[in-house]
Amino acid sequence: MLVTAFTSIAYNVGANRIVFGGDFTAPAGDPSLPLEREKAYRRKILEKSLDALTQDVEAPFVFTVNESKEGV
Amino acid sequence: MATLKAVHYINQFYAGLGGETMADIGLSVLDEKKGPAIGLEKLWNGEMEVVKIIVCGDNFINNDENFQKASEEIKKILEEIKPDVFVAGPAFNAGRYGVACARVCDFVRSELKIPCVTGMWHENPAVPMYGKDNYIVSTTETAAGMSKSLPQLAKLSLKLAKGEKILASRFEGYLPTGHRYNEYNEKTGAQRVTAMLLNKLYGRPFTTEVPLRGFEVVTPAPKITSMKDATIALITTGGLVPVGNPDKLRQSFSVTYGKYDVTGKDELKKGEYESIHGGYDTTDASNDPHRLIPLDMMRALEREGIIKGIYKYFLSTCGVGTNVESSKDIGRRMVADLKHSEISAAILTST
Repeated sequence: MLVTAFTSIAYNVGANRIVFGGDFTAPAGDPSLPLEREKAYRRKILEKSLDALTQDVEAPFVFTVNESKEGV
Repeated sequence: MATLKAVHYINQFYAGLGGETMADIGLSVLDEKKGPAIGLEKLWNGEMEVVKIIVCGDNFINNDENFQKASEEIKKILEEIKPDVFVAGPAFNAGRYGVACARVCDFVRSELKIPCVTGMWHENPAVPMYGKDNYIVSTTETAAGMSKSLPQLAKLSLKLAKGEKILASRFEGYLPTGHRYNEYNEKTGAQRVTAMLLNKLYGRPFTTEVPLRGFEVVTPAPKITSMKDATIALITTGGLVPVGNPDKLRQSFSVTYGKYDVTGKDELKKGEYESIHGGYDTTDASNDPHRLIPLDMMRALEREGIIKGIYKYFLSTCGVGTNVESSKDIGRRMVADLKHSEISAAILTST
């Protein structure tokens, strides 16, 4: 599965399990958060990634962690 | 009396020599009009005639050795006739015939500098092989659509014979070659894109000036049924490497990937790892490498038994300017590596 902030590109090139990551240059994090909260957010991205891996998909699908960015 | 001359290439079937049993027959030249040439001449309306028909069996011409010999003969014939255009087919969705038509056209065009055109169904295997540099008119899938397909072939071949300017594929009906040409437009790019956007927003039809290439459909991997028994690999296209880039990975236009052991590591420290990616500001990634390879939190999930384990290496490459073929090759090698190590799944971060 793929973690990226460029979900439109991921979707259009045909990646099937996509998780929206926090940031274009820091897909598994969010540099705007204090360290501990960023770690908590990273964990949520990973939990969502594992969740995506346990689900059936038939075509590209974007999973979102939380629109409001958890931990903010 | 027509002033323009065309030479037409067809196979044994359209020449009336026979079907599959005659597919091994060698090159022959006909003076009488056969098959599609009759229809083409009607459409040319006296402006051009087919002066010779070259026939080869589909099996014969698809043999490399035979092709060499046949192409020498074709060269001799065409040097004598000096046609204004060379037309092949149409081949519809016939694989061998399609490849024969496109390959002969490719030869005649590149070696003899004679304009060429053929026609076939857009999924004919010859299209990806020769469609980039040759005019291939889009036809129906089968010969049942001959009368529907010939007008486009007739129109483009006549234009080529006259030496007229050939417009973009969408105007001329040939399959897109992927070539782009500059042309003058009275409106600036900003005006055109705004008009296009307005059309899009209002749901009106519009045509892009920069068509995106299509990507192949990738079959999704089956889901994991028991995450607590899964070993997960961490991969990034964000260019994370040990400081100093020991494998000298390329910063762009990658053709390979690096593999770095994280056995016994609970985290990837700043100053020990850095991103060498040549396509984005790597400050945030180098300040905290977990933003690319989230080892810290994966270890937590591992300790809690949510996953069984983490692959002992993380894999890394720089995804910038990497073409599709190189990407596929890198991907295939990564997959072989992971399958060999009995990894259940991978989390790949992409910048």
